[in-house]
Amino acid sequence: MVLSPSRTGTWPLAWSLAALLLAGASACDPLGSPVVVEALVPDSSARGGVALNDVTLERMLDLRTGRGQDFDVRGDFKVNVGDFSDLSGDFDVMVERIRGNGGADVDPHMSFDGTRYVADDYETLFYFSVTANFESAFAYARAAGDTSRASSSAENERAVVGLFASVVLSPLLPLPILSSDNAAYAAPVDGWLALRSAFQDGVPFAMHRGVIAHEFGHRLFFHNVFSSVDGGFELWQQDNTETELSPEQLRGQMLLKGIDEGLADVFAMAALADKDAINDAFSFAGDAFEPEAARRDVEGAFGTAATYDNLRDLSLDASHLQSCALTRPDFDQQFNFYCVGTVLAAAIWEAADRDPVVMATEMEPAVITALPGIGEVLVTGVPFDVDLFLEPFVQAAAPGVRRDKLCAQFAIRFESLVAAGKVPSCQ
Amino acid sequence: MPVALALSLVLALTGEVPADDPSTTSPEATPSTPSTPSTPSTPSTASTPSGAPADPVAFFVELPLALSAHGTTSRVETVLTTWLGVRGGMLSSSTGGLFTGFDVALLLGGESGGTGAVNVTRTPLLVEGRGLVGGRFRGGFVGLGGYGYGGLGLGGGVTSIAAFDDSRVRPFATAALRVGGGTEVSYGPAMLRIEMGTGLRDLRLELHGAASLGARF
Repeated sequence: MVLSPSRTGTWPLAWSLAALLLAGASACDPLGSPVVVEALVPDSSARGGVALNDVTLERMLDLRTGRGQDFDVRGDFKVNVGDFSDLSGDFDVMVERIRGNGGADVDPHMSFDGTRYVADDYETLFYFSVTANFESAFAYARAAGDTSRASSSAENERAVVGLFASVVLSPLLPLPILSSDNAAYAAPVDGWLALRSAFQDGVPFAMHRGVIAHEFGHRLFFHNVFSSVDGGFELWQQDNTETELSPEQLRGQMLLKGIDEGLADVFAMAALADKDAINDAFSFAGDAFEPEAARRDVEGAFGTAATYDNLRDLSLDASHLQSCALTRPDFDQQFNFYCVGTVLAAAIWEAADRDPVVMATEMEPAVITALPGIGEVLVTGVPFDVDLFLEPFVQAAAPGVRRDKLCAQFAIRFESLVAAGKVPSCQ
Repeated sequence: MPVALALSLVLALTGEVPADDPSTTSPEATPSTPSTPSTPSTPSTASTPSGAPADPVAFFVELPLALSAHGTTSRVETVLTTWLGVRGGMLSSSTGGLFTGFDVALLLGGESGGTGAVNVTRTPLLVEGRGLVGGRFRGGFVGLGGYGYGGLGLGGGVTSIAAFDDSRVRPFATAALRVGGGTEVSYGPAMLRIEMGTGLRDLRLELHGAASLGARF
């Protein structure tokens, strides 16, 4: 650890004593935005792409409790997997039921140094960083044109972030089954699970700028594809409670999950204007995460070589196929669907001329525009294949050079679909 | 307390009794003791329930290894602070094996969380003064006691936040109010104390426990 002399010792002990005394007196007053915190946020000039910087939180209702205008950060948040078997009711009813008591207000351990709130412990740094990065993701989504519930600030549509959330099998047996080194969007609670770190190194995934943007991308996908489309939520309920899937349904679900993952990576790259937004999370996390880093790198060996067709007919290099757990042709199996996601993300990245600004200003807005088109076709009973996204996406892209570049990429990466005329806008 | 332990082991092996150990010395053999024939149980020779006279005033030093736990931001996990330090104090015996006293400790703590690349480490230094009240029974070399305590600690420390090559170090002040109870086992001058308690540190509820090895003299 290298200490920064310019910052060391600049905080007089008197401030600390005063803060301690004032903490009790003012602990009941809401601490709303704008409020400046020191958080781990994107900084392209720093190692790991992150640095401890001052961030003004613009959407907090009370930093002391975790309440916000767009989302609430909640402590003691438990998700019972057993509850996921009952997805009945309309969306709000389902979410309220599965959220249960919704956890508890967070209890940050922080001090005010006269300019900013600083974390007194690791969990508070985690809380500040998660909050700052989610605020940033919300702001970008709105700027990119999202009008769905995903970036809504309506009080009854507020998302939750379960800080160090626990996923348990049953409330009677509250043993965590997925409890570390990850983050997730869970549609049944319309919120994110920010899990603790245990085995990884680097930036804990759940406070990582890229991972948070990626997880926000899943909420964007869910609400635009399913809850914004008539009959879409009912279709989602049916798909997620079906116990016996036909091979065609399984194939469609795996490919849809793959596109969901790829577009979440695209959202992260666009929101942070950084190709390595996601890849950095794995690159510094340790040896165990290197395969994931390789799979998610849009300019890496896998990202360069993989196409929809060489994954489908198993003609891709065997080591890549192995990392995707693909052994049967035509995606007729459970497999690592992130591989399909990387194919799509790499195609969009190349069509954006490898320019993060184009990703942010052209590609992601077109993605957001295109997403409802997926749901509109799915509700007619058509099984999912990637062309259900490619066609509305090309239509949403700016006519001219950008659309041509997209079509050129899709003709390479999704050759059989384009050749079969399933992306009419590229004919 | 290796010296005290070693001493107690030597005593156990040889059966020798230190000449200045009042618990095994009759009042008549210690003319400096202010006892009178009409008051055989003056404080200086107060008998324990086992019949052995107690120390009128005893001093002790010990090395506590302590853990304190308090809730976290997420209300899911617990922050554990490990403390190491030195404590010294004085105990005054009264009738019936009861004693009162006080002690003062200097405790250095440490707590940390995060990954190798991103972590927060907090290192407090606390000066803690406590009042003690309890009872102690002795039989020969062996003593067994229980006590309650309440105290106030004040101090400061540094918080270090690190993210890859970037770091911040800031001082902080800290205060603790603690109450609890403990048990003591002694053999000759060597003693082992186990404590558990609760309190407030920096206006937050905490639980704490300690094991201390020391010597009474």
